[in-house]
Parts: sequence; C-alpha cells; structure tokens
Amino acid sequence: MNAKTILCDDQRLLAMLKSDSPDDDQDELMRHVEQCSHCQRRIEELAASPDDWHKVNAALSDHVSGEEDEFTSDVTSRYRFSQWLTCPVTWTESMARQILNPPAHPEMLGRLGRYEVERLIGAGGMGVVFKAFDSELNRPVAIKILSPLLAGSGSARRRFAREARAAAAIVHEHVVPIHNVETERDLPFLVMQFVPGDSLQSRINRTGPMQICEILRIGMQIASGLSAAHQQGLVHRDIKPSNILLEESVERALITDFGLARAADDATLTRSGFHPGTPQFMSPEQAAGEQVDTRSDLFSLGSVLYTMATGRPPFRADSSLGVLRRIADDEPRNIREINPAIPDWLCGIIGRLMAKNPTDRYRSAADVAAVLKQCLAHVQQPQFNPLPDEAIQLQTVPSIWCFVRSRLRGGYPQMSKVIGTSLVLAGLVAAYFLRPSSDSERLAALQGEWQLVSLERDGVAADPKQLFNERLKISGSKFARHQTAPDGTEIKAESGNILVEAGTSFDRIDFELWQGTIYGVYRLHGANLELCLTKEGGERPAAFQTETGSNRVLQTFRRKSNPDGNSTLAPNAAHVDDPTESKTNADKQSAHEWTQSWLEKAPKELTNPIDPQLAENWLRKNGFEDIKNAEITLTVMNQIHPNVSEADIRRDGIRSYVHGILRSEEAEHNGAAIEVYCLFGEENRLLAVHVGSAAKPQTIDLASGSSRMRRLPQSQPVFADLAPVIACIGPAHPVRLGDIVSHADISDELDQSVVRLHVWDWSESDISRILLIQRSELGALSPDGTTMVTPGGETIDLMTKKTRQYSGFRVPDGQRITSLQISPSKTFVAACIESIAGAEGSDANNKPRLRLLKLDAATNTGQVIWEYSTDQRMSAAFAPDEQSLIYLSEEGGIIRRDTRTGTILNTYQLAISTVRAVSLGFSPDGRYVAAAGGSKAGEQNVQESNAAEQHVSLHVWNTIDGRQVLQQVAIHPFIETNQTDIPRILTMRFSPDSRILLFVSGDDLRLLDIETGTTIAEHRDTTRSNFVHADWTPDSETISLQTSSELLALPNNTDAERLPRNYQWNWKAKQLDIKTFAASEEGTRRIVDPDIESQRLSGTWRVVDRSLSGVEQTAEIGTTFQILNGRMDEVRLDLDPNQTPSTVDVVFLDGPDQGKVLRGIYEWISRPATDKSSTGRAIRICTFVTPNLKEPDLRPAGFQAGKNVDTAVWEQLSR
Amino acid sequence: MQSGPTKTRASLILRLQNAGDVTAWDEFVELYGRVLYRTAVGRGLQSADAENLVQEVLFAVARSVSKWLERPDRGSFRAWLLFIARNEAADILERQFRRSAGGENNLSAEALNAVPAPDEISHQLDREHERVVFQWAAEHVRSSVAPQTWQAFWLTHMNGLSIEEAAQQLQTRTANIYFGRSRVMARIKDLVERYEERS
Repeated sequence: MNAKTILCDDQRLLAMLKSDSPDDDQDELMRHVEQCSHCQRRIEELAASPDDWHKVNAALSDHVSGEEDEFTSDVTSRYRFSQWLTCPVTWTESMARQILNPPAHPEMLGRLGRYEVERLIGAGGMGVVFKAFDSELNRPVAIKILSPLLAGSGSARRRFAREARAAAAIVHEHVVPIHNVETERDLPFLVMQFVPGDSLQSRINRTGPMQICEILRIGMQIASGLSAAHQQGLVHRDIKPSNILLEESVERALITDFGLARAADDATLTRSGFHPGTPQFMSPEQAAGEQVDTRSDLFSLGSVLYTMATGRPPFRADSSLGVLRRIADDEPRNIREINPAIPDWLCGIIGRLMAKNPTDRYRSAADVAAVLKQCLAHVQQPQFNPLPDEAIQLQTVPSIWCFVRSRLRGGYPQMSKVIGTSLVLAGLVAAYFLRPSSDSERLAALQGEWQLVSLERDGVAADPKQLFNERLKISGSKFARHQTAPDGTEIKAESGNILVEAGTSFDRIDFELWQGTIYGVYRLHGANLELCLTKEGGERPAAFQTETGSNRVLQTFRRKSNPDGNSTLAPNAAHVDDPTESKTNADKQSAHEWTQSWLEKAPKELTNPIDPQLAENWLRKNGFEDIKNAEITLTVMNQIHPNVSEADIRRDGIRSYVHGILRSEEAEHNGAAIEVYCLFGEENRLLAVHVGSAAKPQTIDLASGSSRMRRLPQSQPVFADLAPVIACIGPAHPVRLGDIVSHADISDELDQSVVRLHVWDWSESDISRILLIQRSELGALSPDGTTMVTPGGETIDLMTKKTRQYSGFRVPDGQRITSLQISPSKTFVAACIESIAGAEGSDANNKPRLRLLKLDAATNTGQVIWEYSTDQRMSAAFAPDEQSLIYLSEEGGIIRRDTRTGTILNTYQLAISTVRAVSLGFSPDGRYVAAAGGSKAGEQNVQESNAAEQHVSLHVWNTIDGRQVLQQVAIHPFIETNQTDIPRILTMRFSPDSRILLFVSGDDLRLLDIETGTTIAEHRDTTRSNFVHADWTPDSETISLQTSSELLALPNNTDAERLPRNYQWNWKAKQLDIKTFAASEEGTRRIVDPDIESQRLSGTWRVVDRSLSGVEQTAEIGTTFQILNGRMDEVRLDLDPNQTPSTVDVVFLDGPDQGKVLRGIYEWISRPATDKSSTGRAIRICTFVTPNLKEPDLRPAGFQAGKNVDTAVWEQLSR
Repeated sequence: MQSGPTKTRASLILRLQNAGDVTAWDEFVELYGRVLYRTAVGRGLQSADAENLVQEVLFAVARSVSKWLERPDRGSFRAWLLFIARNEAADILERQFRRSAGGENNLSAEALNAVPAPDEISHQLDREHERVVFQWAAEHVRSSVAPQTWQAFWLTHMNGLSIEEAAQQLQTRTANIYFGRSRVMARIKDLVERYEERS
C-alpha cells in the first residue's frame, strides 16, 4: 500500500504526460499504472476534462466516417479557396446526374430514354438545356428539361407543355424546330434541333456592338421568324438576345425558347401579376402586367436591336423592379451616343419599334422584316438600293451626312434623296478626315467636295466649332485622315478650344496640339493602345509622337461642358487607318502586313468604340474631373517583337507585351535542329514559346486560356534536355503542362503541397526535370531536377512527377525538419532537424542537427548514416560527385564531410564572423565550393543590426587544396521583406563551365572569374527591383536574370540581333551599361538612368487579381512606381504624400471585359526611410471589389470563377 | 508538416488584412471556411450553394476586415463573421430568386424565409467552429507524435478497443497505452486552448 500511495502522484503522471515517449527507466511507474485504476483515471483527467474527451470524440468521429465533408484535412483544403476562384460548382450538372439515368458512355452525363445527355448548355427560368445525342436517329439534339424544382408544380408543367406545343406548331427557317416532346413523365422534356453556335447574347458579350449589316440581317431574320409565330397566333413574350441562336457558319439566326409563349387568347397566366421572363427586354405593357399582343414582341425586338447596336441592353437598373420601371417610363439612351457608327435611320427604326405605345410601333413583324431587308440591301449596295422611304423619314440628321459617307465608300450620292435641310461643312473640317490618295480622281472628287461644303445649317450660318463637334461625334467615319490642301498648306481644324493641326506625314498620325497640354500618356493593356489626355489651355507642347512608327489613332473622346456646368464625355470618332493606304516604301511592306494582320484578326476591335464611361472613370480616377474640355486619344502602338508575330501573342483578344526572352542552346527535336525562345511578358508570364527556325516559327501560347501560366520570380529557369513540353504555375494554381508540338494541355495535377512549381521540360517523353520551391522552402530538388524531397506528414517523402514515395524515415516526435537536400543520385538526403519548441520531446538546448540519410527505394526505408549539430539556419549542398557534402557548422564555418563516413574533409572559415552563410554550392566540376552569406532579413536580430545596411560576403574555396580563391564583400541598403516571403537576397551561380561565378545580391550584380579572382563585371542597378534570381544557359554564354518583375536575358555578345537591343549587355567590358534604355521595342517600358534627376523611372503598373486577365497601365509622366515582388496584386506608387487614394480603378480596355471597371482597395504599406528614390508612400492593392462605378455592386462572375468575365452572368448579378 | 500552431487567433485575423498573406489566409480558410460550410449545409443549403456562401463570406471578410479591426466596438470575430454570413446567405438566395425569374413565386418566399435568425445559427456556428478546431488540432497532433502514440489514442478512444486490446495490437505494454492516449488528448486540448480566440 505504501508503494502505491507514493506512486499515485499527480506530479509524476503529469510529467509523463508531457514528456517524450516513455522511457524504460520509468518502468516502476509504468508497472504501477498498469495496476492502479486510480492512476489510470487520473491520467485521463489530467489530460483533459470528460467534456473535452467527449468533444474530441464527437469531432473526430464525424471526420472519420467520411460524412459529407467537402473539406479534407490535408493540404488540399488549403487550396479550396483558390479553387473556388477557378471552378465553381455548376449545380445543374450535378443535378443532371441525379435525375438522369446512368449513361451508356462514361463521358456522358446521363441518359434520358433514347437520348444520351452530353453536357449542359444553359439554364433558364423554367428549365435547363442540354446537348444530347439521339441514339435512334443518330443526330445531336438539344433537350430542354423542366427544372426538377418546378416539376412538381402543375402549372409549371402545363406551361411547359404549352410551350412545346406552341413551338412545335411553328415551322420556319428562323425558328428552332421541335422534334419531340414528352410531358407525361416525372420529368417533362422537349427535344429540339441542336443548333451549333452562339447565342446572340454571348456573341455580343464577346465582340461588343455589332456591325450594321449584321444588325440588319439578324434583325430581319428574327422579325421573319416572329412573323411566322405571330401568324400562328403565338406571342413569344421572351425575345431577348440569349434566346436568339446564331447558327455558326451559315449566318442564320433562330428564335428559341418559346417558354413563355402562349396563344394570344389564353388568359390563364396573366392575372396573377407575376412577371415571367427576363425584365430587361420586356415591353412596357408586359412590365405593367397588362394584356400583351404581338406588338409586345416587336418592342422586345427593338430592344434586341438596340443591344446589338450598342453592346448593352436599353434599360438597366439595380433591380428588376427598377428595370421594369425604366421600361415603362424612360427612354433609352441615344444609340449614337454610345455607338456613333449606327446610322440615324436605324436609330429611328429601333426607336419606332420601342415606342411606348404599341400603336406607334410597326404594325407587324412582317413589316419590320421587310423594312430591315430593304435597309440591308441599301447598306450592302447603296448605289443600287435606296433606303426605304420609311427609314429616310425617320432620320433626324440631314442626309448630307449620308452623302459624305457613302461617298467615302465609293458610292454615289443620291442627291435626289436629300430632303429638307442641307448641311455643309467647311472644307477644312471635311478634309480633316480625308487622306490624299494617289488616286487623282479621288483627290479631285475630294477637292470638289470641299467646295460643296460651307457652314450652313437650316440656312443659317452655324458655329464652326459646334458643327465640328457634331461632325466628330456623329460622323461614324472609320478613317483617320489628314490632308494637305492642294497648295500645300496644312489643314487645320478647330474643335472646341483645341485646335488640331493635321500633320503631313503619311507614315504616322501626328497630332500637334495647339493650345493644349499633354496631360498624360498612358499605355493600355493588351491592345497596345496609348491613351493621351490633352487639356485645353497652356502652352503649345511638342508634337505628340510615339516611339515607334505606324501608330494609329483608334478613338478620341471629347469632354465638353454641359449647360448645367457638368461635363460629359462622348466619343469623338473612331479612327482607323485605311489598310489600303500607301506608306513609305521602307516600311510599306511590313506596316501593311502588320495592319493586315491586325485588321484580319480583330476588325471588331478597331471599330468598336470604347465605352465613354471607362474614359470617364479614368479621368475621375486621375483627378481630371474638373477638366472641362479635354480630349482623350487612343492610339494603337505598333508592337513588333522579333520572331514573334502579332498574332502569336494575341490570344482571346488580349495582347501581351514581351518583356523578356530566354534563348535555349541549339537543340534537337525529332532529329532536326531547332531553336527555342521563350518569351515572357509581365510578371514573367510565359507568353509564347517559339520552337523552330526563325523562318518557320511555331508557337504556343500557354499564357491564355485556362493555363494562365507564369513563372514566379523565385524559381529557376533551366534549360534541360530539350523537349516539347513547357509548363509553369503560380501559387494556388495547379501545374499545367503543355506540349509544345501539339499545343495540348497535358497537365497532371501534382501534389497540392507543391506550391510553386516551375517546370521546364524539354525531354521527349516525360518530365525529366522538375524544379520547384515549396512555399515553406522545405523541399529540395535533386540536381538533375527529377526528384523532390519533401517532408511529408510523418516521414520524408520523395516525389517525382508520377510517384510519391515514402522514405520510411520518420521525423521523431517533437522534432521537425527545417531543411532538406538530396544528392545527385538521389540516394542521400541531408535533413536538418530541429526541436519544436514546447512540443513533447523538445529540449530548448537542443541544437539543430544535420542528419545524413541513406534511402533505400526498394524497401522504402531510410537509414541515418551520421548526424552532427549544425547552425541554426542550415544550408547544405552535395558535391556533384556525391562524395562529400558541405554545410554550415554550428560555429558558423563551413564543414565538408565525406558522405559515407561523415569524416571531416575540410573546414572553411568565413572572413566575417557576423555574417552567416546563406547559400552554399559546389561548382559543376566539383573543384570549388562557394559560400555566400549575409545577414538574413527575418532573423530576429535584424533590428539590432544596422538596419540601413547589410553586409554580404562571398567566399570561394578550392576543394582540392583547400585554399580560398575568392572573397568579396558587398554592402547594400537594407531590403525590406515581407514577413511571409522568403527573403532571397543572395543568389550565386557557377557558370556551367565552372569558370565564372555569378553573384547577385539585392541590386548588386557581379561576375567573377574564379581562377583569377577578379571581377569581370559588376553592376549596381537600382532602377529595377531586386535581382532575385539568376542562372546560366548551358553554354555559359547567356545569363538570365530575374528581378521581381521581369526577366532579362543577357547574352555575352553585342550582336545578338534577335534579342531586343535594350537587353544586350556585354560583360566583357567592366562597366555594364544597363543604365539607360531607350524605350523598349514594344514601347511599354522606358527606363532611364536613375542618376539623372529630371527623369524618373516609368514602367508599367499592374493590378491584377489572379482570377482576372491582366490589366496594365503606364503611369503618367511624373509618377514613379515599381512592381514589388512580382506579385500580381502589389504595386508601389510614389504619390504625393498628401494624396490618399482609397481605391484604384482598373479598366479593361480590351478583350471580353472591355469597358468594365474594377475597383480595388488600397492598403498602405510602409517603406524604408532610406529609400531615397521616392518620396511617397507605397500602397498595395488588396482585393478587387465592386467594379464599375455605374453599378457599384457589380462583380463579374469571372471574379469568382477565375474565367473570363461573362457579361451575361455579370448582369444577372447586378442588384 | 505545418508549422506549429503558435499563432494566436488575434494575430491571424490581423494578418488577414493582407490578401497576399497566403499562409494566414489558408489557415483561416481551412478553419473558418470549413466551419461556415458545415453550418451552411447544416442549415439546409445545398453543397454548392454552401460553397458559394463561404466564398462570398471570405471575400467579404477580405474586403472589410481592416475596417472591422478599426472599430473600437467590434465585438468578437465570430459574431462579425456570422453577421456577414447571414447577409451573404440572404443575398445568394435573393439572387437565385432573381435568376430563376421564371420560377414560382412561392419558391422564393420559402427561400427567403429560409435565412435563419441570428441566434439559431450562432449556436450552430459555434458548435461547428468547435468541432473544426478540434479536428484541426487533432490533425496537428497526429502529425507530430509517433504513430504508436497516436494509435494508442485512436484505437481506444475512437475505435472503442479496450486498453488491453490496443496494447496487444500495438505490441506494447498497457502503460504506454494509458499514457499515450492521454498524451495525445492533452496536446489536442492544449492546442485547442491556444487556438481559441480571446476577444
């Protein structure tokens, strides 16, 4: 009993609970516990209360049973958040699986009778539409299934059945035919012809406002289909762009979704006050809930035409009710304000269709079809086909404009059709838009035209400025021209207070601004546009020219004051160079080609007027709100990159600038010699890879579409064996691997624990090299790049692309791995183990230890070969021959040990004892060992050390004789690092031939000859951000350098023609002159010598959310900024300290998001005081919310989904 | 392989202000995302809607956590989270209603009524939170103890084996089972305590 009493000691039990695994010397206690139920209970109680025990049980049993828990506890759940950004669940598809029978083929969704359901096409109010395959008739069909949510409702089913009957009754080339309908089943569905192609809505989303011909043609076809329905006594009731299908390649529009159609005499559905259908295209009588007839469809048709003409619906509001109210009360915005290309008569037709009172509209759809048909004929061949009288009467602007325009198209004026007022213009003004041509006849005609015009309107002399404004506004001209009068004088046109002098050069458009000021020059994203804001007043500036030739003014906006004192922005005109224009001989060919390709590829863009709202936003954001009269000019910059054609780096309508290029050594693929160039855009985003000879480049763009690949600043580019695969990812994105030859995405998602992976794989068959840096830096790569060693949960794991092996080496309790290295043969792993503070088994005095493990892949085990204590911050490196390994000893020196025995072979001392080694490495031939050390930011004592400076030292020793061959010290200002980023201050790289050591430390870059110890070249570059990485090409002739925002390739010769001249660097000269660049060839960057006070660094400012396409703006002159860390959401703007912007607007000027405005929230971050190059504060863009000033709560669906913005969904989200 | 749970909750929230702080956000998501999701599903939201809800809430948090932190009267983080979640849930449901504008009227009324009162879900949220925290702590502990120790806990406490059975299965003495399981429990509890927010 005594023994028991003594042993039943809480203290001892507690001690045991807290300690490491039971040791044998506690045998006595253990035996006691095994017999003493009191102690057994106490142990439990000391650990936790019964409540806690129970809670744990509850929490974990849930967990284990695999109950519906979408969150898994391992690291994959980390990426859920970002996964949501990229792929939201489509509930209807999963629903589909539930309601359908299992499919016959695994790729299909399911089966419905004889129909194999393939995929979801769309979802609407009443049902969902799938693409399916009719297995009996062997043809694709579209199946619309009544939404199961509604299938229980009798009235819904009746409506569904009614729709089917109604639609089936119409047989017309512009109505989607119904093949079959089944209404009696649990799940009624109807079967329609499958129409390949877009809906009108998605076409508009993609390309914006449409061409007149198309508007007329499609409108005519819709009207014609409608008239067939109306003749059957059916009102569609839901005419809207998403219900119009455009069959691809045959130019046929079809009406679909008669879901709400009902016979005109069926009154059962209208009394409830319930409004079916999308409100935006409803007619006023529908909106009011009144009786509707066929004329209601005409209103909707008008709304659709409006949408086609302007790119947006006529009535928009924050809520459905708001929309309905506007439909009833308001007039839609003038079409020509939005798209001046739309002729007046078309506006009139649309206007009549959209008359509030049905009786004011056209009488029938057939009438509308007829009118549109005539108009279409007129537009296509104006000289033979007059506008229908109908249309002419609807014009509000005198037809002299038509005269001028049709003249420009080469047609003949219909003088007899000029009715009413005549308006003529000063020849000056007209001439502004006319370019002389070598066609003397044409010139004569134009001259003749001058004489015709004079300032007259309604018989009264008009204000030339006003007329000019009008002319600019409504000209709809697509041509930017200037002209020299026959006697050689320059043509001047006056617009408001800005006098524009047209230059005389035919090569480029020079706008010399008189009485104006260039307020800012902005380069715009993607479309290579330049925005120039000119303000009235002020002195005459120098001619505004752009760097490279062949610039084309795309569009101008004019801001003018309204009588009430406000000012509004209106597009002036859309200018596009006439591709048939002759240029100077020298660049005629290429400019023409360039223009051709430009026009071919994206004619829509050129004629697509930019939403004035975005220009408005831009003005407001930049503080130009109170500028009353200003003009904004959008100019297209010519962008040429060697070896890459315009088309190559345009994808999805988004063009990227090429900032850097990496060239591989000569390589072979399939026995042929090829060259590989990798082109990087902003953020080291991989734009294109050229594989092939210069004569026949073959490209792949993995930067667009779903892959969105980019290479992070902290990864290493390496040219390995050549192979046609290239891949890279960023954090939170899965790895995407692309096959260069087939352009296919051959990715395989790697383990999610790999955060940042950069793979350059050039091998024929499989990934032969994987380079990676894990977020926690606990992974290491084998030198051949194929295997990664990483700490897994309990063991150290080896990973290749395909497999993951557990080494069987367990991390002991209370310990964790802080660093890993793997030997070239992948047999040995050096692991640094450290105690976890406070964990069981930990010992505060335990130093970190370096363990050398030998791995046996066959048995999946690891054996500890030797172990020694090491420095707190472990660095280690294996020799290339694997015979030895170096690491940092606990005293701060470097020790080289024999791999197999652990015997010390050498010790090397660092010259400065306060400097800790950060990187260690062997030269490729094993003859040298290098250690680069510095005080590491993030270390606890960094505050105490001289925060203004860091000492960095580099040592190289010869391994054979142990002597130190090189020692260098560098001092540079303290670099602030974000606490979550791993500071990468030092990089050193031996050249592959082991002769030169490249040493990068912050902004200090040196090349050192190892043999002689001399510095071959050095450079201090404060214009860029930190050089975070550097590497050699295998031929030791080119260095690639990464800053946090760009990638440079620096060849060791001056005549590498193919690389942009700016990036050339001859390091044979001691002083490198990266100092001053001209504008880079693509015109986006202009870097100047930072020593020159008057010039400041300009560059690009990038604000991007990882789920969105990138947007780029060039800051105005006078603003300095840098891109921090290469991160896409972080920029640094030097602003006036008194300014505190709270939001930033990012404007999409191109691509499907064109016109959309995103707003981000700023956050101020501090900046080190010692940074002299700026005076302002730094900001960080945190997130993007509430885009579009007009509709503050809008957020594009793409913002969540990680896809390109889908405007339709966008609008649905609006409140 | 995660680093030890040495951060307190308060500092985690502070770090959330930085949208680029991937570590903090991942941690936050792992915990609260799960909590929110389970709560949402528990309230009857479909899986995908619940995911959407969580996403919306996370965005809302990202947007406004800084402002929230500035408020002197801000209350507990979880309360605020709840507030956001309810708003977002209401929004989601409303949007669904609007999107399915052709749907039945009564459907929407039901849906809107489905947004529960604050008290109801507050409890649920707390429960879920607790559960998730425990799960998380358990995972942490699991990866930091010897497998045998963990098994001692798991077999006896979760799988219902007796001490003797567990000892036999693990081929060790029963004392090790007693200590091992309690050791695990103690550490779980310790982590949970350290992790709970104090505000």
